[in-house]
Amino acid sequence: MTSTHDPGRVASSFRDPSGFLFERNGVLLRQVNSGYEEHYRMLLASGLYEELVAAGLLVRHEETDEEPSLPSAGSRVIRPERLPFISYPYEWCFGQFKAAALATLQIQQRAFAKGMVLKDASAYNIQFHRGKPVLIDTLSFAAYREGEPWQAYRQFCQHFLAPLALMARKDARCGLMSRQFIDGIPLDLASRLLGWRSRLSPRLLLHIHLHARLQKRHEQDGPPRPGTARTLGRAAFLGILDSLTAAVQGLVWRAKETPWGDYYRATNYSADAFAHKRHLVAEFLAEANPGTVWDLGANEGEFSRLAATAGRFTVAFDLDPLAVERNWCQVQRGQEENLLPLLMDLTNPSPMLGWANSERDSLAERGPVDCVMALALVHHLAIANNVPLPQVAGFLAALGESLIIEFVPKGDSQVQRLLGAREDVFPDYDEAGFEQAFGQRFAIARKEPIRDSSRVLYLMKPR
Amino acid sequence: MGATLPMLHPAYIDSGTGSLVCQFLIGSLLGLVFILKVFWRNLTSTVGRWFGKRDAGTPANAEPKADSEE
Repeated sequence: MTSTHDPGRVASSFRDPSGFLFERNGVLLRQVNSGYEEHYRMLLASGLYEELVAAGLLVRHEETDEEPSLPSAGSRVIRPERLPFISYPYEWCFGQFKAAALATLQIQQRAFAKGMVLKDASAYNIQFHRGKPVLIDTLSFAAYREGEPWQAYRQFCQHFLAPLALMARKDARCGLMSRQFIDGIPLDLASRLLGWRSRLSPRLLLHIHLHARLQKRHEQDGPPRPGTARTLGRAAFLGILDSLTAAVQGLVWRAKETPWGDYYRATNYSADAFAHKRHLVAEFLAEANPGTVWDLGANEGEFSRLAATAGRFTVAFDLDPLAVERNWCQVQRGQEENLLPLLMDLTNPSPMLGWANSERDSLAERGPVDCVMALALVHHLAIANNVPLPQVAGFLAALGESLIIEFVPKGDSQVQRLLGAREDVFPDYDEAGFEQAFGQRFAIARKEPIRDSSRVLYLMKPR
Repeated sequence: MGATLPMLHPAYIDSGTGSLVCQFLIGSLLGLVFILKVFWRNLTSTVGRWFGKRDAGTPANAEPKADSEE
């Protein structure tokens, strides 16, 4: 989203005086400010830029002759590669969080070898592109000055180490805390939540518990007295990076089963119905021919892959951390470039967040996408969450153009399970009611019953 | 405790006084551990080569794999 106060400027790009992102004629550009020019030149001249881009760790950019958006401050304008989807840490599973943390440390280690440092270590600077974590902020580098500590150490611990430790040692859902604590989990809170047993881990003891204590002790300190400078040697700098790397690598999420983690194995589908559904989804996708797809309620991405393997960039959303983790592992194993698994509770999707409610985009703000898939989802929204069908249709219409949706009738055992312990207050929840509600927003292009089941699959086009 | 702080070049994010103090406190220890680790890797690597084994250690400047445990 662009800023309402400063037209063209990307709303999240305001903190760093080195430059900022803006849009001009639909093209994403980055202004490099004069004060950063020396560091930018060093990034290129040192070979660090080429090295990181070749390793897939830094987003590629091109230099342009564009006028700066703010000519009084700018020295040049670069055009970074535009990514198909921007995700946020509170939408990542444990494995993605860990990969992003290790990528940040790896970038810092490579930068250090070239005489540079990361001047920030924000998790929001990392995105997943072609199945790998990549730094998107080209202006994050600064020349290393002998003896300086790592200025981004606090930010790294808050943005990465604390949420990862909480996810690994307490509960994977702790990753969602990043949605509240947009500048990372406060270390005093992380320290309290992790508890005393985590102090037995020397690295967590140093980087979380001791760190939190020292933050508390020095929170009222003023600037250092002149002539009292201290320096941090290179070995100490590298030692801290090495220790952080080992700390992150040592965090493993031992996942317990969740209700959704076994979804495909515990499904009420027959093999024939499942195969027919796959066939129909592939057929509908070919007919809609979208370039980008959002699969809502994707579980482990079984049907997302039908889109992704056909070359369509697909985001696979699910609310279950284990399902997303398994999907991510599969992306890694298969080196899949077109599929991005993410955590998303569709009954409470990511809102606009941060400064002026516009720093981080809501889910809807990141759309619309060419095609939305909502397979075996509608009953969860309409029955488990009591959303009237016309509102479900309105929500899905706002997210994308065409829609591939499965209607699951009341007779289905999955719906019966949802109705099991409650009164049936959904008189309009039937095929006719579904078609009437969705017919207000979409035109039904195809309707096919799924063989050997009571379910129906629809391809809908916008009205 | 301000006396233990470095004269930093301005950072646009708050580095946190306590976070800087933390780095100075733990830096010497972790730096020493790092040096010993690199020394040990190089030693085992060299000894491994003497006895004709495959490289037993990883290079001193080895980078962690982003997906090391996936």
